[in-house]
Formats: sequence, structure tokens, C-alpha cells
Amino acid sequence: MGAFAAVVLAAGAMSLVADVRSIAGVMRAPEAGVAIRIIKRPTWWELEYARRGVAFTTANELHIPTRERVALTWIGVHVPSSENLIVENEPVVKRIEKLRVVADDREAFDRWFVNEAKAATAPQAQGFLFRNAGCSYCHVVRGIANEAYRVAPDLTHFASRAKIATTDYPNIKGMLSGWVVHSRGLDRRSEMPGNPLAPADLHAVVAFLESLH
Amino acid sequence: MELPAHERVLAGCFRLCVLSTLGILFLGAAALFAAWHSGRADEPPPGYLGSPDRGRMLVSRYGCPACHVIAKEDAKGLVGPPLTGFANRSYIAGRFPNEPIDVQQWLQHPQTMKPGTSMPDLGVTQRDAGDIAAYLATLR
Repeated sequence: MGAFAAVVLAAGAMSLVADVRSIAGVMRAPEAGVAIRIIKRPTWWELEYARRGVAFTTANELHIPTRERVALTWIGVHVPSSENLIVENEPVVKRIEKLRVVADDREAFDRWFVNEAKAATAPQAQGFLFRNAGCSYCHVVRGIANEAYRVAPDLTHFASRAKIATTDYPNIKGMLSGWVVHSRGLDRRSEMPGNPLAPADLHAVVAFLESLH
Repeated sequence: MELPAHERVLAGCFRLCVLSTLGILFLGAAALFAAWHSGRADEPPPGYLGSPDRGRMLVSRYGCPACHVIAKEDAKGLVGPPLTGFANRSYIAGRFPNEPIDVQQWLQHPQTMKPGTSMPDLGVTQRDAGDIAAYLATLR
């Protein structure tokens, strides 16, 4: 089930919108600009961006430019109204609210877009550890771990996200360390299995994730 | 006995004056008590110098609840040991006495004190470590 909406966000310079319903949608194809497919996964959001031949996948933090027409395609979420992106039943609304929306001015959005389109770079050893610890079965880090099953968020530029997964917990070392080992301690809905890594490996994986700007 | 009108007014004024004085005194005393009480709540336990109130705030800021159950945070971290009743613990990290200086050092440099431990060095500053240690020492 997909819905198609073009969105213009007329807010001022950079603002952080906590709720997608505050975006006024227009049911019309965009004339130009960025197209975003928003795919609802059971406990997270997959976001596919395309603009003028450049495409990439990211997750959980929806970046949009202000004062510009954006094509939003929603997959797995029914968006009935052009005015309000409110969905039919409560649980889905709550989950939609977990999609953080960051509205930047054109310049900041372009910077984000260009960086996000790049593959990750990290020392060989750290990429090896990420794959060896089993993370790469589910998580893609473009350029380092490309063959995941894509059942979990793309982490190519994970360090640039403000929060962990769809939680409200800040993306800081302490929180992240606990999340990697036992994510359900922070979010009962998390599907990520526990990863009781050897402590040295845990610290290295966290350092690797923190390097993914 | 019926008082003359002007004396009735005077008596009324007097009563009002007494009541408002009492009221002001009571409010003042309550304010003083509140100030004393809140100041007292943030007093560090004996041997500690930091601010328990600030320590409680810092615990969330550094992400401690991701691994440790501490108080009533919504995070339910079970990665590391719970810190409830911390003040009554004899040892920390299974090897250091639960003393102010040891706790503070542990919070700042777990990897130096016990190389290979799963607790990461989080870059906790000396002042912050002192405040967190003081807060943990209030948990009975």
C-alpha cells in the first residue's frame, strides 16, 4: 500500500519537527527536487532518497529541505489526507511519530545529502570486526558491509543521527554501548538480538559506529 | 456590650493586622524551611564533596541507564550490575572498595583501573565523577 504526496515545508531556517503530521502535504507530483520513499518496517523506518541520478538508502531520520517541493512515497503506511499525514489507527500513528523529521535550509540539506550519498570509510580492521561480530548480517554500511539482508537500518552514516534507532535516547557512547549489547533494555520493541561481545570487541564496534559520520 | 462604631472599625483593623502578620510569619517560615530542606537534600553524604542532585542529572546525560538500573529511569539496562542500594555495597567492579576516591576514579577511568572491562571510558570529567559518586552514595 503506497501513498504519494508532495510536500512543501514553509518553515524558516533549520527546525526540528517531532511529528510528521505537522508537515502539510499536497497530493501532487513534484516538479523537481528530491524524491523520498518512506518504507515502514516493523520497528524502524527505511528511507530511500533519489535526486538527479544520485540515490541512497538511510534510516530513521527523515531529512527534508525547507521551502521546496519534495516527493514523498509512503510504503506500508496509509496516508489518507493531503492536509494531515495522520494514519488510520492509533498504533501506526505512534510509530509514525517515531520517525524523526529534520527540516534544513537548502544549503544544510545539500551538505547532508552529499555526505549521505558517500560510502563509509573506516580502517580495514574495524570493518572486519563489524562483519565478524555478526552486525553485517542485518546492517548495511556502504563500502564496508554491503551484503546484509536489509532487515535492519542502514548504518552507513549512523554517527550523523541524533538519536539511537527510533528511541529518544541520544546517540552517545554510553547509550550506544548498552544498545549494542542489549537493545531491549532501552526499547522493548527492538528486534535486534543481544550481542554480548567480548568487551574489547564491544568498545571497538562502538568506536567504529561513532566514526560513521 | 455594644461598641461605638469607630471602635468596631478599630477592632476589625486590629484583627486584620494580627492575622496578616501571622500569615506573613508563617509563609516566611515555610519558605525558610523549604530552602533549608532542599539545601539539605543536595548535601553530599559524609566523605563526598559533589552534588547528588547534579549527579542524578549526569547519570542520564552520560547514558548510564543503558546498562545499569539505577532509579526509576525508563531504561532498563541489565548489561551491567544494578546500582540500586549502591551506598550499601562493599566493593565496586568486584575489586575496589566502595570509597569516594575509588568510585570517582572508576567512573572516570574504568579501562585503566580494570583493563578489558566491559564498561567503556566515557570521558567523564573529574567534577562530574565527583557529583555522580555523591549521587550513587545516596542510594540506599
